[in-house]
Amino acid sequence: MSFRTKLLALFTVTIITAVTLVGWGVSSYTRREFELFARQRSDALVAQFRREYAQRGEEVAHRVQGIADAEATVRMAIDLNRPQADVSQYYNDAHAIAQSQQLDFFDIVADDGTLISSAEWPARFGYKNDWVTAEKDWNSQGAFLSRVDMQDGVDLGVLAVRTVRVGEKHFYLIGGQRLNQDFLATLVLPESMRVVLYRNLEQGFVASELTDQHGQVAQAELFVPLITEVQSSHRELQKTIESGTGRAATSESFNALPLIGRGGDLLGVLLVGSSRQDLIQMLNFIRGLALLVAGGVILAGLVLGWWISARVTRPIEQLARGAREVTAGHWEARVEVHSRDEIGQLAEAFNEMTRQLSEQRERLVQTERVAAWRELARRLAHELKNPLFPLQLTVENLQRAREQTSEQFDEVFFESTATMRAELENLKTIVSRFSDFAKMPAPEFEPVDLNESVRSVVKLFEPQLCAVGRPPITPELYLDEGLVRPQADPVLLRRALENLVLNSLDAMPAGGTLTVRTSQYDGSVCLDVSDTGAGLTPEECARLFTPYYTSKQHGTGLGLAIVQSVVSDHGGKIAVESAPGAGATFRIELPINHPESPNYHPRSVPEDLAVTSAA
Amino acid sequence: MRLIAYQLHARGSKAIAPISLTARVILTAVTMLAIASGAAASTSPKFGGVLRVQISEHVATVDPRQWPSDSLRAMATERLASLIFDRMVRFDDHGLPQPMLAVSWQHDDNLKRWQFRLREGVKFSDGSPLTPETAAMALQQLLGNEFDVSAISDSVVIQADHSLPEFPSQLAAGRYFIFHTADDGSLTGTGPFRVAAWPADSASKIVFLANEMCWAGRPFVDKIELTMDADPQQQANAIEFGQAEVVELQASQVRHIAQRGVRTTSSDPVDFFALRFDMARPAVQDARIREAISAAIERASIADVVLQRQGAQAASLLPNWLSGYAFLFPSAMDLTHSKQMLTATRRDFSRSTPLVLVYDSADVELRAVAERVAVNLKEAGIAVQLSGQITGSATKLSAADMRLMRQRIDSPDIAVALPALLASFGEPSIVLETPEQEYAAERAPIDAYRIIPLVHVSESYGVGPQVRDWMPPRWGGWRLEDVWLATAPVPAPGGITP
Repeated sequence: MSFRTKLLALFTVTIITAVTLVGWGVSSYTRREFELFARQRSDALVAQFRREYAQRGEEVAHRVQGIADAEATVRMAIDLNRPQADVSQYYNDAHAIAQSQQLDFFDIVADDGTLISSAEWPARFGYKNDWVTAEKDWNSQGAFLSRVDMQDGVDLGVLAVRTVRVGEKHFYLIGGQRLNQDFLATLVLPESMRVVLYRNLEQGFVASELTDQHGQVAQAELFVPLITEVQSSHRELQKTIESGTGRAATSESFNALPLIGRGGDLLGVLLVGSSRQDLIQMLNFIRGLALLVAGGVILAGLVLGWWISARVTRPIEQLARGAREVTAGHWEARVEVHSRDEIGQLAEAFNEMTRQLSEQRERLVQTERVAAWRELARRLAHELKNPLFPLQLTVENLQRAREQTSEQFDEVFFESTATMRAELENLKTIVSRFSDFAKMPAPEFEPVDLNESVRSVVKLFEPQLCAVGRPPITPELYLDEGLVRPQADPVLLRRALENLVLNSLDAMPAGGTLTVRTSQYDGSVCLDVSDTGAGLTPEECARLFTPYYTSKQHGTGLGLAIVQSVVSDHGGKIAVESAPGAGATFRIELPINHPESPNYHPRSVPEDLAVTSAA
Repeated sequence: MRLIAYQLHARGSKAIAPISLTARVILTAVTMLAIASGAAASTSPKFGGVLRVQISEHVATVDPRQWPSDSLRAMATERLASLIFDRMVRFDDHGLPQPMLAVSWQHDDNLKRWQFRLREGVKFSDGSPLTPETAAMALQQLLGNEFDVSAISDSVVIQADHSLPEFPSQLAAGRYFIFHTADDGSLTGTGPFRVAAWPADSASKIVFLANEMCWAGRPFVDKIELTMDADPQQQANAIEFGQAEVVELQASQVRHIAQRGVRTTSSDPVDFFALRFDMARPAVQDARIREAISAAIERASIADVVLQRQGAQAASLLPNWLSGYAFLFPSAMDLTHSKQMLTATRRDFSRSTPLVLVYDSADVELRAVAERVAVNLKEAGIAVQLSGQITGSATKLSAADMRLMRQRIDSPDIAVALPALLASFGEPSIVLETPEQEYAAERAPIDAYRIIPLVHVSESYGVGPQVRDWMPPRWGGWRLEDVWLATAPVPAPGGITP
């Protein structure tokens, strides 16, 4: 990833993070404020319900008190107080009174708790209402929530009890109004709010007992967790109920208010619900707006970041380009200096560095050239000195032979000329080697059977391997018979192979094992030539392929240099692995298809394979 | 063949027969009382006026051939039909069959052949004479093919393949009216009134006009305006505010409205309230459960409170005034015994499905009784689910474990009333010839708890202050032909009791 890309990514991440944080902050603030508002509305409705509930209770108590105070009621009580009173004649009175007083429930109960007349369950006359006789001072008490037994089940009502006292006996009047959807309908609800009443008249959750002002609530199962929690805790709770998915999704926040009876039992739960649709819509709007703004900001930030990063990285890129040119050998590479800031100073330092490097390189080249010439001269002198000395002695012998007899002179003459011719031939060979090295021919590629070349070269050196008077050297060949034929120059390849084998033989004067191995992997063929000689030091390994470098007394220092040249011309690479006392292994890797070969087919050749030769 | 002679006389001095010594003594006493009360009355019977009557039921037709199966509707139809038609025989105040269109009758020794000699000079309201052929044709249609009805001379002969011991009593009740089918298909009768208008819509009143050609004499009132489908409260208001002269009253209304000064009359208990079980339902197949139900019901409170003392608790099918042995059937509630019976069944009634009790939801008294029964059974530990259903609807008894039924006893003759009652409760038809048979027949379904009697309830009417000679039979019904209207100003209704 380029520096510009990184810089652009940094800008982008920074902008996105900033936009996200701002959006989240706005959204959170809005949500909190809206929920606060919704809670206030819900609290207001709960307070309204409490007022209505209290008012309804007062109203019920007032009506029942009015009935108790009525003259007809007192007459009835007096009549019922008589011995052998006929209670049956009052069988329907509770119903009539309830109708006239708009009460849903009304019972007339005798002193012993016997039900005389009941509006809501007339057939229950004669049975006991024991709970009402347990309390005598009903007249000072207000209304209360209570379950009411009915013919077809149980109902929930706000009841008030008043007593009429005749002599020592009390007659109880129990009146009440039903707490149901009609009661909910009397509550004035703000828009998007609703009130749901759950009448906790049976064990567990009963869906039919969940009503709002319109009747039974749909999807009652959504309220089960909230109702169940209130049933167990008897505490006021708040919970959000969500339903549906997608566009049909709804969300309501409910305040659950437990409705407790006289005995402390939970008789109902009032659920004040506030729709969160407005909140959701607002949040969706904010989210959409935030996304839009964020998108715009991010886009603008990207453009700006791209411009800034381009402006910032341009001189760096120029520096990098300059560095690459220097790496490629263009020592004259320079970068423009656009500013005087750190980047500008860096550019100036780069230019100064390349200038100095260029100068140092020139000096180094000169030095190396001089050193090379000196080395060459030394080698030449060394090589030439060996045959020149015998020549000089031969010539001096020949000159001294003129003072001898002619037969002796002739004998010396013929011996001397033979020696001179041999030494001259030797000189020619030396010159020819240098000439050959200087004139290394360009390879001519063709498929080469590398295994066959190896066998041929090893066979060539067989006499030397088994030479009399010399410790034997055992050749071991591990050749991959499925080896692909690489594109190579067979003559040059054979020459390089001969040099390697010869080098190995020279490394094993005390005998040993010559191992040659061929193999193939990943588009290349490999040739390993190993000896079991004395091995090389790291320094020797480093200079091994330097022309004219040799560790042998009679070497020219050109053998491995020629090998490296051949390998390089084939686009391959050569490496040596060695340690003192552990022998040495030379490895040649050649591409199967050389780019200059007629059958070249590009493959995934490593970049450095063609140009790198490792020491 | 035995011939029983009957003595006849016209309306106002009706035929009483057979004339035994005891009967003559009673007749003399009644006549003297009547003369005495007549002397005491400030006014004599007067002709004229419109009698406004309201009833709860809806009667679509009074054609005896299309008699309703429902007991209450049949009763209402019988009331209206008796205004238009006459029967061959009628019941007297003692429940004995007396001549009407037939002046005498005789039967063979094995009671299979009955011959009724027709009254002479009787004409239908359209002027056509009553002939044996006409009467035979009407009876043949009503009695069905099991009977061979023929006209012989001045008589109608009815031949059956089985014994007909109480045949005159059978003909004195129910749908056995003598009618004549006119050319246009309409029916005419020999009764005291004729139909002047029978609107199709139930909101309009049916108008009956006095039949000037009635063989028993012209009725006193000129016209009867009858309103059907009047709910009980509407009728109570109508009689209280002078908008009707005769209305039906629910049992629960009688005491209340009487306290307001309205004149009320009640018959002997004739409506039979009882539970009938569907023996095919597994829930009630165990007789101990049915016995527990019977023992758990507090009949006294139903009669005294729910029905406001207009009924009598019943443990028998027939009321005591009719059978004379109803006291032999215990009716007291025994909650302990009920719970013992339930325990004996080893069923957990608190967890079992409630028993379904069906009743006619249009009958408010049935509903009140059903609710009380449910309360009683609940106290005993038996859950009951009430199901109000419309009579005549497609609902079958098989959908319920038990049904609360209200059945009218429409004959003062036990030999006729009991088989009809048993048949209405799905019991097998029987022929009763001896009191022992009657008792056994009544005892069987009760001992098996197939039928649980609850109460017998009176038929009650509210009667306007200007109505005179309102003397219905003790087993219920009308005698509007005897009613006449006083011309005195209608007094204001009594004070309203709070």
